[in-house]
Amino acid sequence: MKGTYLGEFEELVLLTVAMLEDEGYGISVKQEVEQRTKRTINLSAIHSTLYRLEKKGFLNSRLGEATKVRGGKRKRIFYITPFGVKGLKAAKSLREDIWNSIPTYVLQK
Amino acid sequence: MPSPPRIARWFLQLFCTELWLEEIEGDLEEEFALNVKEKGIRKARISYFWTVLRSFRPYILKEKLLSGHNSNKNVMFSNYLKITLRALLKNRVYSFINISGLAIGIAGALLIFHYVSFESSYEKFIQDSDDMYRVSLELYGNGEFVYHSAENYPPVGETMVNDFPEVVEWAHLYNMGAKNNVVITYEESPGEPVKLKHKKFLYASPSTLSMFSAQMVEGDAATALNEPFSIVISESTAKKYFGDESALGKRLRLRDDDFNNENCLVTGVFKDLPANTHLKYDVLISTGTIYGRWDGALTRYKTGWVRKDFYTYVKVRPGTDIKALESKIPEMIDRNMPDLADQNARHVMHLQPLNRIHFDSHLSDESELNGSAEPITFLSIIAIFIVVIAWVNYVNLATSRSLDRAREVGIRKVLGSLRAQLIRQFLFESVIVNLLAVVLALGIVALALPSFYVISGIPDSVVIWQNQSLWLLLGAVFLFGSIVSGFYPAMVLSSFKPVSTLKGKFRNSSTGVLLRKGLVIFQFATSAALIVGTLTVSKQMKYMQSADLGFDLEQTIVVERAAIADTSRTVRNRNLETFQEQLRANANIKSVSSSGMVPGKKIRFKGAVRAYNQQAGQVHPMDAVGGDYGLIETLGMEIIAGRNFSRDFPNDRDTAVLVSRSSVPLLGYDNPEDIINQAVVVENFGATAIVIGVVEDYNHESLRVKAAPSIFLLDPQWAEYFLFRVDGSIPDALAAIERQWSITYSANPFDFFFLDEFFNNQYKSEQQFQAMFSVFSVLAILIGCLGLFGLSAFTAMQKTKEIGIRKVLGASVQGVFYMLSKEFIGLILIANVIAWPIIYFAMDKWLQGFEYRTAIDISVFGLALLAVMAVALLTISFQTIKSARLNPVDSLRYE
Repeated sequence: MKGTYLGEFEELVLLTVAMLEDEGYGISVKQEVEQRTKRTINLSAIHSTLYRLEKKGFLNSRLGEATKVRGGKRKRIFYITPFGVKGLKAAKSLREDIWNSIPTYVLQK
Repeated sequence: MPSPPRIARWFLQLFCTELWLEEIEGDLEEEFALNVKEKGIRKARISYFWTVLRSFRPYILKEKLLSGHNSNKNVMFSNYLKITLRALLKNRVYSFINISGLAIGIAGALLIFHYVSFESSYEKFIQDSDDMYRVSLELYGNGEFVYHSAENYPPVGETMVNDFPEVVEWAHLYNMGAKNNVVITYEESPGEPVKLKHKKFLYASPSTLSMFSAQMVEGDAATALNEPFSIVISESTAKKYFGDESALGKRLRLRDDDFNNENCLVTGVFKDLPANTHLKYDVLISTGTIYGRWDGALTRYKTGWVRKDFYTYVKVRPGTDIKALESKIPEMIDRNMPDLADQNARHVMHLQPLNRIHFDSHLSDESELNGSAEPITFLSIIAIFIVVIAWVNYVNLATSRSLDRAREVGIRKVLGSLRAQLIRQFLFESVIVNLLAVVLALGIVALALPSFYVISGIPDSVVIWQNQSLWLLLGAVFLFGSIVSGFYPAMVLSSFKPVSTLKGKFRNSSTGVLLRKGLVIFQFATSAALIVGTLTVSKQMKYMQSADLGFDLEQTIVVERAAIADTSRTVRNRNLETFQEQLRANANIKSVSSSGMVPGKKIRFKGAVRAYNQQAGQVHPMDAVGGDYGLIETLGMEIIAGRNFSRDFPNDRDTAVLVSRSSVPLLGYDNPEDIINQAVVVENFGATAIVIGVVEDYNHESLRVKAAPSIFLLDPQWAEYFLFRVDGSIPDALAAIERQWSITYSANPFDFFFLDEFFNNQYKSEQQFQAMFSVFSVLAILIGCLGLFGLSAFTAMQKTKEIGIRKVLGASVQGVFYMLSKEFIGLILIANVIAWPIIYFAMDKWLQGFEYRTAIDISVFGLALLAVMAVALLTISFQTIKSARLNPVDSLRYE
C-alpha cells in the first residue's frame, strides 16, 4: 500500500525521531542522522521528510519552546505515533525475514 | 551577532506556508548560528541561501500559490497565453519579422553598450581614481603656443604635496621604454640568458604601485620601489624570465642605448594590468636607481626644474575644489622658475582627471594613443536608434494588424470583456513577444561575440556576461519595450466598437495611419542618416590613409638601434657603418639610412631656430631631426627647392641643414627658393648652419594635427633607427637584415616593424569607429527593412479587393505595383529631407576634429536616398508584385 510504505531515508528519520524521544525537531534530527550516516544532509530534506511522515500518520507534532538562537521562534517537536512504531516494526520484521532466508554459505563469502 | 541574508528570508516568507513558517525559519536560523561559529559568516550565508532554495518544494508552498488554479485571473492568463501563441503561429512571417527585428535591435544595442561601458571603465579599477589627476604642462614662448605635454618637471608632484595641503600623494614616472631602447637580461638563468626588449617600461617613484592599486602577487606594493636598483615586473613578464619559479630576490640586468648598465633586484611581481588603463606597464624600476646615476642625476631626475619628461600624478583629498587648486599652481611655477618671464616664456599646468585621460587627452608624449569621446557619443545614439526602430516596427505591425484582431476584440467585448482586460491581454502579448526577442537577442550576442571583439578592439578577457550594468540595461529594455511598444496597440485594439467590428466593415482610423506614416518616416530618416554617416566616415578614413603625407611608407622595414652597444665611439661608428654598408649591397634593398626619427612617432628633439638676421632669442620651435645622407630618399620625401645632402659637398657634414616648407615663412622668407644658402641659428644646439634645401611639409604624426615646421641636420651617427626601403622580396631582405644584425650586434635580440603598419596604428581608434559605425548602420537599415516588409505585406492585404477590381477593370501589373509603392516612395523622400541637415551637422562636427579633412560630399546624400529607396522598393516589391499578380477571381472572392 502506497501511503504506508517507508523509504530508506524516511525510515532513518523515523528511527531517529523515536530515539530522540521528546527532543526531535529539524536541527536535532539532522545532526543525529548526519553523525550516524556520515553524510551531509540539507535541512530542507529533513523538513520535507518530517512533514511527509506526519502526513502519513507515522509522526505527530506539537510546538515547543522558543530560544534566543532561533530568533525567538518556536520549534516543532515531533514524536512517534503508535502507527509509526507499528510501521517500524513491520519494516524490521520484513528485513529479518529476508535475512533469515539467505542461505548461510552466502553470508560466509 | 550576524544575521542571515535578508533576501533569502524574504523569499522564504514569500512562498512558505504560514502553518510551518515559524519553525522552519527558526530551524534555519539556528543552523545559521551554528554554521557561523564553525565555518564563518560567508559560508553560513551561502548555506542559508542554498537551503532556502532547496526548500522550495510543493509541500511547503502557500495554499494561495497552490490552489490558484481556480481563480478567474489565472484562467484568463492561460487563455491570453494560448491566444498569443496561436496569433504568433498563425502569422509566422509577421511573428518572425517582429521578434527577429526586436532581437537584432536589442543585440546590437547590447554590444554597443558593452563597447561604451568598456571605454568608460578606464582607470575605474584604481581605488580613489576619482581623486587622482595627472599634471600636464602647456608651454608658451614669445606669446605663442609651443606644445602641451603629458609630461612635466620631475619635482612638480612632490612640490605640490609640500605646498598644498589638499594634495596628499604624488608619483612620478619616467617613460624609459618609449624614449630609449632597453634590453633586460636574466643572466643567472640556469640555461641560456633570457633577453627581452621592453617597451612598457618606466622608472617609478615609490608610491606608484599603491597609488595605482597594483595587485601584488609577490612582494609588498608599499615598499617594493623604495630602494635603488629595485625592479618590479608583471606576472607574465616574470613567467617569461623565471618560468614557474618565484621571481622575488632574482637579479635582472638592464642595458640601454645610453650605456646604462644596472643590475636590479626583483622586489615584487604584480598581476598583469587590465586593458582599461592608459598607463600600461610590464616593468617598473625604482626612481632611486636613476637619482644616483651620476653626479647631478638627482637634480636632473628629481629636484631640478630643467628637463620636463616625467609623468606626474597626484592624489587629492576627497571633495577638493580642483579649480581652486589649479589657480594656486601659477604661483608655484613662478616661485620655482623665476626666470621664465625673462625668457619670454610662460607655463600653464593643468590637472587632468585620471578617469578622463582615455577620452579627452591627446597631448604630446602620451603613454598610449587615447580614444576619443565623440565616437562613444555617436555609437550610443546609434544604439538608442536601433532599439527605437525595432520598437517602432512592433507598434507599426501590431496596429496595422489590428484588422485581423478586430473581430476577436468584438467577440470578447460582446461576451463581457472590460476594456482594461483587453488592454491587459495585448500588453501581455507584447511581454511575450519581447521576452522571446530578449532570449533570441542573447543568442545573437553570443554568436556575434568573436567578430565583435575583432571589430571593436576590446580584449576578449573583458567578459560581456559579467558586465552587470548590461543585465540591468537588458531588463530595462525588456520592461520599457514591453510596456511602451505594447501600450499603443493595446489602446487602439481595445477601443474598437464591437458593433462595427462584427459587421465586417471595419477600417482603421486615419490617426492610426498618420502615426504609422510618422513612424516609417522616422525609420527611414534614421537609415538615411546612418548611410550618410558611414560613407562620410569611410571617406575621411580613406582620405587619411591615402593622403599625401609628404613621404612614402610602403615597403619600408624599420629596425631600432641596438640597446646594448659598445662603449667606444669609434667601434660604435664602425658598427653603424658596416651594418648599413653590408646591406646596401643587397639586391633586395633599394636604399638604407639611419635616422633620428620614424614617421608615426613623436620627434623627441625641439630645435630653437631663427634666421641669422633675426634677433637673438626670437626663436621658433621646430622638430629637429638627424639623419644620414639617404634619409630623404629612403622616406621618399620631396625636395622643393635647393638640393639634398650630398657626399659631393664635404662641407655638408658640418654646416648644412634642410628645412620644411612651413619653416620658411617663420624664418622670414616668402619663397622656398629665397632661403637657399641663407644662414640659420639653432640656439639650443649652439650651431649656425646654411640652409641647402627645402623639403615639402610632411605629416609626421596623424592627420589629426597640422604638419610641424622642422629642420633636418646631417648626422649619420644620430642613428636611432635604421630604415630599409625594399625593392624585391621582403622575406629575403628581412633575412639578410637579421643575418647582418646577428653579426654586427650579436648581443642584441633582433626586432623590426613595417613602417606603414606602424604609421597606420595611429588610426586604430578611427578604424574601429568606422567598422562599428558601418556594422551597426547596416543593422539599423536591416531592422527598418524587416519592418517595411511586414508593413507592405499588410498594406497589400488590405487592398486585396481594390487590386482585384482594378485588375478586372484593366489595370496592368506595373500599374498596380506603382499604386502600392507610391505611398512608400513619398514617405522615403520626406524621411531623407528630414535626415539630411541633422546628419550634415553631426558629421561636420566630427570632421572638425581633424586638421586635414575631406569635405562632406553632397553626392553622398543622393546616394543615401537611392540606397534607401532601392532597398525599400526591393523589400516591398516582394509583397506588391505578389498581390499585383493575383488572379482577380481569387482576390474578389475573399470576403
